[in-house]
Amino acid sequence: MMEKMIFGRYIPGDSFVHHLDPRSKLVFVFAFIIVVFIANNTVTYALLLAFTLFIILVSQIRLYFLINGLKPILILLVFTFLIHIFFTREGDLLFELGFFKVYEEGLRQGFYISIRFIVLVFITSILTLTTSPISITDGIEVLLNPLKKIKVPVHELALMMSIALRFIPTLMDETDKIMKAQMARGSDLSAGSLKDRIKAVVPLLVPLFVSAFKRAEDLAIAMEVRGYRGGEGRTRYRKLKWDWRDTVSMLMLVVLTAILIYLRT
Amino acid sequence: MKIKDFALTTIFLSIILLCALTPLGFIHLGVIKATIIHIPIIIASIILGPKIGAALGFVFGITSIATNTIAPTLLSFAFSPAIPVLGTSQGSFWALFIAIVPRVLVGLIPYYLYKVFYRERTEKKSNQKQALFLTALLSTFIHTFLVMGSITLLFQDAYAQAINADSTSAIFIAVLTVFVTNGLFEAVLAAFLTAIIAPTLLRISRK
Repeated sequence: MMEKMIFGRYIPGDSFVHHLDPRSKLVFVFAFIIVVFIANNTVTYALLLAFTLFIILVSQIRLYFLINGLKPILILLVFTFLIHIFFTREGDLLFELGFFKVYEEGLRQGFYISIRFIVLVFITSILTLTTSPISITDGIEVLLNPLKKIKVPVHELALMMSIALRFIPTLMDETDKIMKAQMARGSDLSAGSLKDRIKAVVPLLVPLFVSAFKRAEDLAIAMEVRGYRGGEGRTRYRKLKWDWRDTVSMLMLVVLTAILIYLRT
Repeated sequence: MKIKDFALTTIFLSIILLCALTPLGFIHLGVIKATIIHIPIIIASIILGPKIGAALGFVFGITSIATNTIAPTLLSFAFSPAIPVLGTSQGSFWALFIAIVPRVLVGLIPYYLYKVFYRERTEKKSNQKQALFLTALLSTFIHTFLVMGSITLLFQDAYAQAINADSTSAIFIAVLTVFVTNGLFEAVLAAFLTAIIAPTLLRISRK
């Protein structure tokens, strides 16, 4: 079940990208998502694709994982591509088959959008593949720190997020256990009409929620015993460090943006 | 914030993340995908109050932006500003609005609805279950209506531009049907599950 998760796909490694600070990775990805929209002609899209391939190379992630990530968006890709081919009526007519007309501009737009999708999916996948969820949460906490000024409880939110992420596998195990317990009592989750299946879910959800509540109580007691009282004056176990790699990656992004702006039409 | 509330919120957050990031949170009904993520949010709002409910709804909104950006589907342009609207080459920042505002409301409203329904039916014996049922039904409907309504309002022009005028209505009706059937199923499912799960939890949490 874990491998189907979007954020839990972290693969430990020792590459340049793995060693980047989560803060710089997050900033990089967010900035990159915006930068992608600068591209508007063949040269700029080619450059984007080349840059993404370069990052994949540097991150040492096996292409298999990334291609796997593309599978769910295949329908979307094909659909968008077809819409652009059929509904754009500009440029030279490439070929005609009855009412079926393909124009040069449509084909080009279709390719552009597909490249954009692929680049976006690749870059965000690389983030989740090379950064553990806990580091992502740490990074987000630091990046959101300015919000403390408007009284957003950033520290509490980040701590909740870390604990919640840690509890997900526990809850999954729990679900599995309860499912097996109910199956041993003769409940059937995969067969029957929709109504039957929903009915079968109930004896699964109630114990799951109740046991989750008990866990929350344990957690509350554990926190109270350890004297937890909010974020003020707390020291950190995992310290984030900004080193030359992060500066290099930021510089690379700035250079890419400058070149894209120069080359766009 | 009391530590017990903190712990409960964390657990709810965990359940929501589990539903939002794994296939567990979606029930496939052929073409349509019904979500059950709003059910823990509704329950959290009833038990822990509107503030925490709204915060959890906000998290739901963020996860939906993230999943729609990382693994986009046909309707993802409505939930992620990075995904170009079908047939055009630009994403829309209104997607942020659609992804977040209805979700925050689905965490905010149930608390008040439950209060109103519960007070109205104080005399009857099965009042609690009925109140919970109605609360979940109405909240989910409001959620679906807001999402559907804002997509209709905000992306109408995009569709009209992208696709020839005559086919606009056809695709539009398709989107609308998906949302109406989806919404109905989600609302009934949420109503039944909330009415069954929440009473036990309310009893436990009051101890």
